[in-house]
Amino acid sequence: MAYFSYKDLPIYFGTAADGGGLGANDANSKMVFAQQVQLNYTPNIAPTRLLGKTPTKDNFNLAGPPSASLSFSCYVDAGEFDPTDYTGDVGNVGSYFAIGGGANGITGSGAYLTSFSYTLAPYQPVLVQCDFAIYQPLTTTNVGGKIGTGANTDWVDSTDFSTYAHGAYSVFSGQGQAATQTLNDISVYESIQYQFSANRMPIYEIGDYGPSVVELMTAEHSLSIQGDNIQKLVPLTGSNPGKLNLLLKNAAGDTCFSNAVDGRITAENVSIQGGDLARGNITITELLK
Amino acid sequence: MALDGSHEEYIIINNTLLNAVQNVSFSQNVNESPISTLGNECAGTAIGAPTTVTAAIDKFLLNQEFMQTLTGLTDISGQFEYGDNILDFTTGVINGYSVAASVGELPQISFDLNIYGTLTGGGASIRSSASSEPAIQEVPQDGLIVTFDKGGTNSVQSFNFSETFNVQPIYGLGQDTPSHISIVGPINQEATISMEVEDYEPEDTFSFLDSAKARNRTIQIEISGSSVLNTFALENAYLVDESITAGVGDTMVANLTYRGYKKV
Repeated sequence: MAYFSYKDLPIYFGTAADGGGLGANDANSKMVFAQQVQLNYTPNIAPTRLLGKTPTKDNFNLAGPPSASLSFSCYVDAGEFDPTDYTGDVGNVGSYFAIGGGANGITGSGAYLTSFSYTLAPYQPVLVQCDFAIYQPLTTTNVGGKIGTGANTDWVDSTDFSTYAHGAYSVFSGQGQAATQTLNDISVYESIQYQFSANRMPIYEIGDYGPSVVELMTAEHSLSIQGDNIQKLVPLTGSNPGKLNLLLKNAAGDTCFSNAVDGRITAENVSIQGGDLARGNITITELLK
Repeated sequence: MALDGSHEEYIIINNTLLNAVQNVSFSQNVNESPISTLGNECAGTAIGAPTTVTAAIDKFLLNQEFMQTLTGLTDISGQFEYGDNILDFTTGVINGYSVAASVGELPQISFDLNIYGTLTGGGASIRSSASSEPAIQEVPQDGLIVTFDKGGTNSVQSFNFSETFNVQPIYGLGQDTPSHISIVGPINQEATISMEVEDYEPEDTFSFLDSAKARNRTIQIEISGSSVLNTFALENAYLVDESITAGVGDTMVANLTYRGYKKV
């Protein structure tokens, strides 16, 4: 046993199976510029007690599919991992991932995006928080089921200053016009928080460990905008300010990915404290499914 | 042409050429940090905050101080000329200044500016079109009058006064300069007086709990040449610190610190 340094554990995401060989040289995979990652795996077994029998250490039965999830926060560029590739109805197979490389790391499949969020702020690089649910059983063998020595650091793509999406270069606008024309009482956007969430239902068939169908049940996304003011107070039923676009750009001018929210204002807040300026915050939510 | 010396250095603020300048400094601190990602220890760098640009100016306080009239402004511009070189800046804000006067020395004033606009070289000199500060006057030792509440028999050796401003720049998304700059009150003032002890006694420890304790004291320094040039006074002044020090072979010294606060 040994500790492994973060530099030896790149993360890759793929959309197709190719024998667990996800990596920089694999056309099916995208690298994740992850700042941190957490893999949670809990087999769903329950104690089973029988009348007339003293329980033993083996008296556990499978009570449902394992609970597994993968969460990470990452920087984004224009060519590698893009969370918007995973937001919709992505089929019944899900995504493939590898932590540390196929031969010397943990690999898995059946990953479905349940939420992702980021904050866009001036002079701040964009860090995207992604949460995936894993509906397929994870490999439990020595290959693909544990982190071993000799991870493939040469898989890592070269990166530099101009790569990452950053608040200094990103654009917030209305549909075909300045955002100030859509949100006409707010002229300074101090920060914008984007949040996507989805509920997915895996359907298992008798005799299978993995789901045969994964349905996208509901999905919505929202913007929370902090600025110098709010829209005028909206009616109880909310109001639609119009379509708002977020273009996450890097120093090279590339759009790393974008989001468009055309929803209703569901919350408006004003906060003021002594020694500070009054700030407004509005939340706009759009139902996607 | 190379710079020959400080006699070829000029600082112009809001189109006024400053007199009696002793030191000028400009600095830029770029807030760029390395990024480390899983699988890559050196994954480039990223800007994490606006570049901090500051300027500091130290002057003898021998005329009617022009710079003090710029406090509260959020659009100060200027030029530093040194030899054939020009350094222009825009959108400066004074975030604090201090005045120091002591026995046997000329009074000095020091200003600190944050620069939220550009700091660039290569422009043309504006010195010939700049106006001048009020003329320097002779300030005698008795032209410095300190007013405080501990009795005239205790000889004041030094007086330091400062004002600090709470400057809040707000950056909008995708903008490299602030879209809004505010100076949010109160303005914090502080004065420190050092004096030779004759009949001074510290104030009672628990008197500070008494609402009747003076919290609007007159603490100021007045600097005069042929007439009064400058007055620096605390508002709503209260005592926050006092100490006395005695040592063999030395006189007894007391140090008093007062704070005040005033509206923007």
